[in-house]
Amino acid sequence: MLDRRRFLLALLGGTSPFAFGGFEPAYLLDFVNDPSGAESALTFSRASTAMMRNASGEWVWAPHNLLTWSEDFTKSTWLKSGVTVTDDADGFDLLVPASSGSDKFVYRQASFLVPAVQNTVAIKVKPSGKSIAYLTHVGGSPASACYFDLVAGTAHLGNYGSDPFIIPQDDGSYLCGYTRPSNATWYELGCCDAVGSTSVTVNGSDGLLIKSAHLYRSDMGGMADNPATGNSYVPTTDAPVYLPRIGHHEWNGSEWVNKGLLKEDQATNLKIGLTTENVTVTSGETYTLSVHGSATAVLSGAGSGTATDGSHVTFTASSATATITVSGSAVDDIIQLELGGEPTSPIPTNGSAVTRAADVMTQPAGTLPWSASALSLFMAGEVSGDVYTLLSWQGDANNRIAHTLNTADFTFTQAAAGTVDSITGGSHTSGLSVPFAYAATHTSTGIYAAVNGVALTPDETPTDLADLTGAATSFVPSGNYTIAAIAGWAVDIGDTGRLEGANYGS
Amino acid sequence: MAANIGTDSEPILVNVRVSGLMVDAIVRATDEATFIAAAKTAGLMYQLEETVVDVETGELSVSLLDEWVWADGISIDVLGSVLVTPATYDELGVELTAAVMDERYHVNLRLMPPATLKLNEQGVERWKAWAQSWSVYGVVDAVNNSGESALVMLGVSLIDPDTVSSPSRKWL
Repeated sequence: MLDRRRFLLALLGGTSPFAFGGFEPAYLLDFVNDPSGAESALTFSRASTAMMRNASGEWVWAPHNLLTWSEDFTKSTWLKSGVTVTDDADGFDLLVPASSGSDKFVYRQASFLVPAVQNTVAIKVKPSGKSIAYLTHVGGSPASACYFDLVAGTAHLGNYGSDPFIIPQDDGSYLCGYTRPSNATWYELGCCDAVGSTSVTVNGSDGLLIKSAHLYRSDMGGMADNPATGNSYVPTTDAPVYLPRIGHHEWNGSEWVNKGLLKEDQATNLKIGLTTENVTVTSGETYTLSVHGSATAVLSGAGSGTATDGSHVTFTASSATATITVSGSAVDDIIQLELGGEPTSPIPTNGSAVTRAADVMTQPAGTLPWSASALSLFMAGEVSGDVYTLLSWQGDANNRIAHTLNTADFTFTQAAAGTVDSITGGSHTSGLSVPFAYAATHTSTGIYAAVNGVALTPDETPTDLADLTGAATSFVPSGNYTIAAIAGWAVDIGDTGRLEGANYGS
Repeated sequence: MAANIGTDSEPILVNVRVSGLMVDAIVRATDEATFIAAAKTAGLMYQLEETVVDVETGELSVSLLDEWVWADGISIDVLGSVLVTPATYDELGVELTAAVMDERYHVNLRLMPPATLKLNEQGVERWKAWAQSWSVYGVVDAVNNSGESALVMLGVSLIDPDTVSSPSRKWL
């Protein structure tokens, strides 16, 4: 709440809330107040889906799209059955049946669907001589076919029930789609003359305008909207896209609070379902058992304890078998056993262990503002655990800037031509979601930093600042966090500026 | 085999799953060292280097470090040994028969850009080159689990994902 008030007051005063020391940042990721801007400025990757909490406290899927070339149906990925597809205006492609008859459609495979879970497929469609579209999948059971009347604005079930929807869009098109559990791997979008039949007559020019294909996992609480589009659509080109988890919320005791970006390491849920189970673990390793939902999970064998929603069990395995006895579970509950000393976001399983890939934020060279004389960097958020790298800007081992979180403090390092200088200070108490904020300045003659409201003793022995203009920067490459904001300046923001940064959120 | 990286008329079938520039591979090696050696050969890992300044001449020189890292865009999920047959227990939880494990080194690989965009010296995508190598030069793995099909080369089996009916672990 303080951040919000500060944000509004700063805007009224004509400056951004990150103008520490009076210096506006040249680079800013404000995940809380400007999610769309942060998303567009952040280079991000994650090789799988992942879950986040929305403003209602529900676990939902982070925005993603499994269909490649979502804006370009002329690509060979979109196979053509009796149709031609050409570029048209306003980002639409024109689909025209090439000959009369049935089964005139574009179709393609979606290789990375999770079987048997609910998915949503949708596409923008606009009439261009033809006014009926159909959308279906094959390869699954039951198959699904839905028809969309683009004049009446109505969606119709085909041979099988599929919960179809048709939603008018600002550009005159309709978002047409359906949601249902499916094992399908092939999807078709076709053009026809009447609801209920895929048959079509042709004149060589009439067809449909199509755009923005998307397919996403929508079980559990559904999928969060893409901050950039304000809806479920996530544009893709040559690979599926999994967006960062911006807008993740946590309970502060009285309300769900937007914590910004949820960033987690790779993790595997070893518990493969909701029944009582013996899970093979490695003796001597630390694990955490957690529950999302109404179930109770009692641990025995390799450890002991009882986990419920909001109350996890962390244990060091004393043997190779962890017996987890489950009671009171509901369909969407998740019981999670994972390596490590803290619970992470839910990883649903269904018959096998499942791995959520790591959130990776490696910024290309040239992203952060650079000055050969002085540059400043700021980060604020909450961290679970300790001994993590917070920021690594590295040409090579001898030329770098690094910010690290230790067990009880922070270290700010710069190395130039093999000469390493650093300062260590501030305080940190390891735990779950521990707030932190820091601002650091690296110059050719010193390292200056302030952490959690306290200025550190500077190191003014450096004689050089390595040229890192050609080096990538990695944000929080290890550890589990929520990140409120990251900022950078190509100047020294001064003691006052660093303290303002180190007091962010307090 | 799961994917055709050739054409319809000249197919090149490989044991990976592909969606555009996202590629999944399921591999099984004799042991971890064998897997790492093959990963280096396939260009999935690269060697770190450091720039050293000669204090007398000021000249820069680059030397390779004895440290290898995974290329950007590669996600590795190490399963290690996998369960083949679960243990059985009586009603009191006492183990009746021990679990049967495949002690070989199992790994799930997921490649995304920029890893899937990297070219080898012949201008071919690296992932296609090694996937094709396994298809061309790999021999049929004689020791498989529950109907799997795999080709083995360099001590590493590239398992056809379409033949894995009950995966031990999947990507979310």
